[in-house]
Amino acid sequence: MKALVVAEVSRGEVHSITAELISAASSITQDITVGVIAQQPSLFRESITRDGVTRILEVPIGDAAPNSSVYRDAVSHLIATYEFDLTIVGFTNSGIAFGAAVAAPLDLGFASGVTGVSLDGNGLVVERPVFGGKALETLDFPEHDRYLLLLRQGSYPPAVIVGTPVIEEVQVPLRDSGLEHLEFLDRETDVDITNADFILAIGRGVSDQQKVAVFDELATAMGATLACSRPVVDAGLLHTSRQIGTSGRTVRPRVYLGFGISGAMQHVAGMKESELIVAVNWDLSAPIFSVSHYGITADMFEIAKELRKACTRTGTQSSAKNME
Amino acid sequence: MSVEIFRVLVCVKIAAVIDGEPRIASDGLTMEPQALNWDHNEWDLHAVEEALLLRESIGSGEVVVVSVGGERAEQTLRWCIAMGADRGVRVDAELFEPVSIARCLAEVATRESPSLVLTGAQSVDGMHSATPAAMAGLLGLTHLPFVTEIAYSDPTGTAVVLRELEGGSFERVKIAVPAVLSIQTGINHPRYVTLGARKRALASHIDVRSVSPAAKAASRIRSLTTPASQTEVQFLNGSTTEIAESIRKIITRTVD
Repeated sequence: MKALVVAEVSRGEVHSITAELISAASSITQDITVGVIAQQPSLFRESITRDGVTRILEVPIGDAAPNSSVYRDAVSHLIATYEFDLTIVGFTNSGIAFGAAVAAPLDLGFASGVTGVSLDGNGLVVERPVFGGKALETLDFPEHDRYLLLLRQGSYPPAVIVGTPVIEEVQVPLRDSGLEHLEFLDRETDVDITNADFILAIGRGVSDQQKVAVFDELATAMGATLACSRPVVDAGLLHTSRQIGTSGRTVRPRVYLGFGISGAMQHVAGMKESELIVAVNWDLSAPIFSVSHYGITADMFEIAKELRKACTRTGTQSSAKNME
Repeated sequence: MSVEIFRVLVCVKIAAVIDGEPRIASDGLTMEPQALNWDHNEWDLHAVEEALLLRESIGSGEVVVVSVGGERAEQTLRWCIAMGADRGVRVDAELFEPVSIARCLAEVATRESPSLVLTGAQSVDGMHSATPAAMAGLLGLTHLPFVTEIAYSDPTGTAVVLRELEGGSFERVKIAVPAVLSIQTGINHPRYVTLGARKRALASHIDVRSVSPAAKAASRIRSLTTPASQTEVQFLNGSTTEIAESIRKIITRTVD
């Protein structure tokens, strides 16, 4: 099976998911080409040269910024020219912007948000989470022989840097993309939760300032840094710099204590490497429990109240570093 | 597409949420219907709200909502009409594969000639985040996902949007319109819908269209299972006081 891995290049760097896409492709084929679409693709050669890669196609795009339209046109051209059977794109804000836009008009077999790929006697088989992560869908493509997949980050380990792939430069015809980059906005940071040893995270059920204050107070009493999932930021209750997840920060604390965190995939992606995960959630089937070490199915406010008392009783707070 | 009046086409759906345990049906392909609770897809409501705000800021125009689904989808269409959408279209087909859905929506878009196509950036049940890009590809339109701000300027044939990137950053982009934009939460607060508005929406006519002979679906569901756990979670039991003490001990043990 001829595979194309689309490297994700943004703001002068190769996204870490690219090495994982290569690894995923390696699990089912030995014929792997990486396509690098950028103003100066050769700059990224070293970080693309990984185990399993037999060829690198460097697609210079002149002055154009590598936006969703450029990726769409370039990848479509590569698939048509080189007749790749399988194209793998990262399930990231960048990949989501063009992946299906390539697959639909070309009538490719297609799946997004994929966590596993394999081959059986009949062809490609993929797995993907559905229903908020509570179920897993296995898909196949009996009516297709060419496919495009978007793979979730963290599904495969990164392929190691090694090898001597063939390098080819490819010119791709590009139309006016209809997109013009104006500026990047990097939000200023209120607190840096990525350095915290002990994180206390709150989820959607903490729905007003008074409730947030309860957990803020508990976090202080326990020596933890307060963080949250996206809905709490959307509700304007905490600053975006406290958000854990794909659109926020990735954290690796020694302790992650979650209250009312359901474990939506976008959040879990930002905290699953935590050393100790303790989660409190009413819902026994909340996906957070499939990444937790300890689970408590009880009312989070009751538990918070008792924990606060427990901390006072022992007269000490946890000695976790709380770097703010 | 020729565009005469400002028209936003918003693609919406009713989504299935599992509040308790997932229960796979005996066919091994679908969820037990009783395990599912249906509700308007949250991201789509943000998209409708944004369309209504654009219409208000421009001073005129039409907001059309469309959904691909069975009769149940009309609940969401009527909710959107109660919010202020002008009319609703339902494509009568129960589809869950995003490219097939995008084909139906693209057909509607071709007929409606919108200035903008908006939809939610993701759904809690399907979790593909693919329908908007598929639509854009089929229609030959530009696309940006996870949009958190839209400034629309018709005379220039462009819009300026703010799109979310990973890690808390944003990018401001000028985009040629018509375009397909997928909307992220946090962009706005979907407006409150009065009981009166909902009652009036019940009487609204919804244009039901049938699907053209379908192209093949882009994938097939082979099985639906409950995922294996990544950790051996240990549930703590006892009274609230006992549980709290256990948590305190476990954490202190790790941290000290």
